[in-house]
Amino acid sequence: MSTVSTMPATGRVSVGGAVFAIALVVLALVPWFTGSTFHFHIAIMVCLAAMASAGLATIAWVGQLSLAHGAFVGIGAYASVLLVTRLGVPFLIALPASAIVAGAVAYLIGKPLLRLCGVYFVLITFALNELFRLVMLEFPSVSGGSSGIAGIPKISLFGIVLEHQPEVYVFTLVMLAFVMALLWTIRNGPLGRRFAAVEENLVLAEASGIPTARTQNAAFVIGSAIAGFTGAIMAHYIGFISPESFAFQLSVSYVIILVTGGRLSLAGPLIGAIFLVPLPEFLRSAQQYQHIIYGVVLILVLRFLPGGLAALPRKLLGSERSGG
Amino acid sequence: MSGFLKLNGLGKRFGGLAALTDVTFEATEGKVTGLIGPNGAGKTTCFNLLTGTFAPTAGKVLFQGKDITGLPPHKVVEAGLARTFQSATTFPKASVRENIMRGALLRHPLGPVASILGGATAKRAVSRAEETVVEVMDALELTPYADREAGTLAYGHQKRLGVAIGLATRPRILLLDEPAAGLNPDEVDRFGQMLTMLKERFDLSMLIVEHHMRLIMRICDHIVVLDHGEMIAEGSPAEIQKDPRVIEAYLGGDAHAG
Ligand SMILES: Nc1ncnc2c1ncn2[C@@H]1O[C@H](COP(=O)(O)OP(=O)(O)O)[C@@H](O)[C@H]1O
Ligand SMILES: [Mg+2]
Repeated sequence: MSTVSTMPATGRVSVGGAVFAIALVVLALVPWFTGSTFHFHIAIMVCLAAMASAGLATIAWVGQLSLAHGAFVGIGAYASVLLVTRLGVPFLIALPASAIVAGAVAYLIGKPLLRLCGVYFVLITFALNELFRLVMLEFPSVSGGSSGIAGIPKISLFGIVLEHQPEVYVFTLVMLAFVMALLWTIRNGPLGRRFAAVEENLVLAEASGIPTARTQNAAFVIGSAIAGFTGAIMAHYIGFISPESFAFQLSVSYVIILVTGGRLSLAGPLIGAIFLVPLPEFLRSAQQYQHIIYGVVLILVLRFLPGGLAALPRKLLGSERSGG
Repeated sequence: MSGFLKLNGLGKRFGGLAALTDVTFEATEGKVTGLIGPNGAGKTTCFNLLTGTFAPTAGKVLFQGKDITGLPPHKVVEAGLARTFQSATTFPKASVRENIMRGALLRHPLGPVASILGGATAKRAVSRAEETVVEVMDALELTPYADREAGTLAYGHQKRLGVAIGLATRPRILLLDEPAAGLNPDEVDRFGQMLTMLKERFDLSMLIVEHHMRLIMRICDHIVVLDHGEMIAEGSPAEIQKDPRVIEAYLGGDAHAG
């Protein structure tokens, strides 16, 4: 109660929140209504994009924008695939391990990197994403080189292999719910309060006794670990990875999803992914134009809805109130 | 007498510019020390060195006998030295209550698990910090605005909120950088009374930078004068008002004097 009352931004529109939750449940059920394998596939991709973007959102909550997010998805993907195929580790252990590996890498590079702010951080993470791709290409014995690694074993839980899309979808939905619940908990707890303080006013946060460097690094580690976690699921679902799968275009698409959905709200990544992932998939013939479509959407959102789609209801309600 | 807050030969160069040179003085416990000087004299730089925003290029800062030179700002606050900023700085999107809470929680630290996942320990910390929040809000007459978003407050209230956030960290000494700037003369007088009251109520020492001479002369026990980064005088308000160097450098041309 007390945390809600002191952070009104998260708990204000409770009726709107209920409507939103019902809409989400209905949307999540759509593939079962249609029964189409293609729709199940899209739904899985929406969940994975939402999960990775939620990780990126965590980093955005401390006011930083990482363009290396795709590389962290890649680190998780490779970590899991190598653990499963080379060491015979069960997927259910490889999955959290891949999150830990990605988080550990983020911790090590985050310390020196996060001293840079704003556009400098964006540029250096962009360079790191390219570095990841190039380094992986240099070590084909690990990464499969430019031809990648194919035939990755499917997700298997306690010996049960998830062969078909509907099963993978259920698993991915549960994992997404878990990640969102974790982020909700963090956001409404002491660390989330520090994230908000750092995002709003870094200098004042530091002067109020908040260790801002450590706080930003915590967000970077958590967000990147979630990216790694997503990467593991993605690799075992799609069955193929290569260094090119995690090129900077992937990072850019996460940024666009996040900004479109709303970078400062918890629901933003979900909304962004639901809106943007199916778009190029349904416009099959237009798939090569994915980046153009994303670019246009991004420009429209930045121009008309800087808070992202998540801010739309409040904006509409707000203008209604001032109009009436 | 190991001293309270001591500046020992403090200096700072920005490239070729000597912003501060060989500044040595002491802010005494339980007293209000004024730091005055024309614009660009190095007052804010002095605060930045004291609070760890910049590392000095020369000299030391001793606080209650401990060398705090070069500690990061959040460690300096923890040691009991809080500051406010020259411009009105708040957490603009948070409520007034939440702004103050973010300072108050410094005195209610949590372990790593509780600070990430929250839970009962974290809730208890918040409810204990709430006492500080209520007390500080009351002292700064911000209670009526408790649930207002800080960014929407009037300028004067935002400045007071800045003081409130610093106070919520339960400092031994509060460093105020031009807290009355931008207030009208009535508000300045009220603000002066408020500072005197805060000092008693929270058992504080203060180091204050201000251009309002009437305020400075009324509330300060001791005054240090900077000009071009160097100390040109220090003494009681009466001594400072009579000092010819000060009059020449600063008071002479200032409409607020007298
Ligand atoms: N971060 C900085 N980088 C370079 N020069 C600075 C910086 N901060 C202050 N200065 C310079 O140091 C001098 C003192 O500034 P300041 O401490 O802000 O003065 P005051 O607060 O007394 O008006 C000025 O010449 C100012 O331009
Ligand atoms: Mg100044």
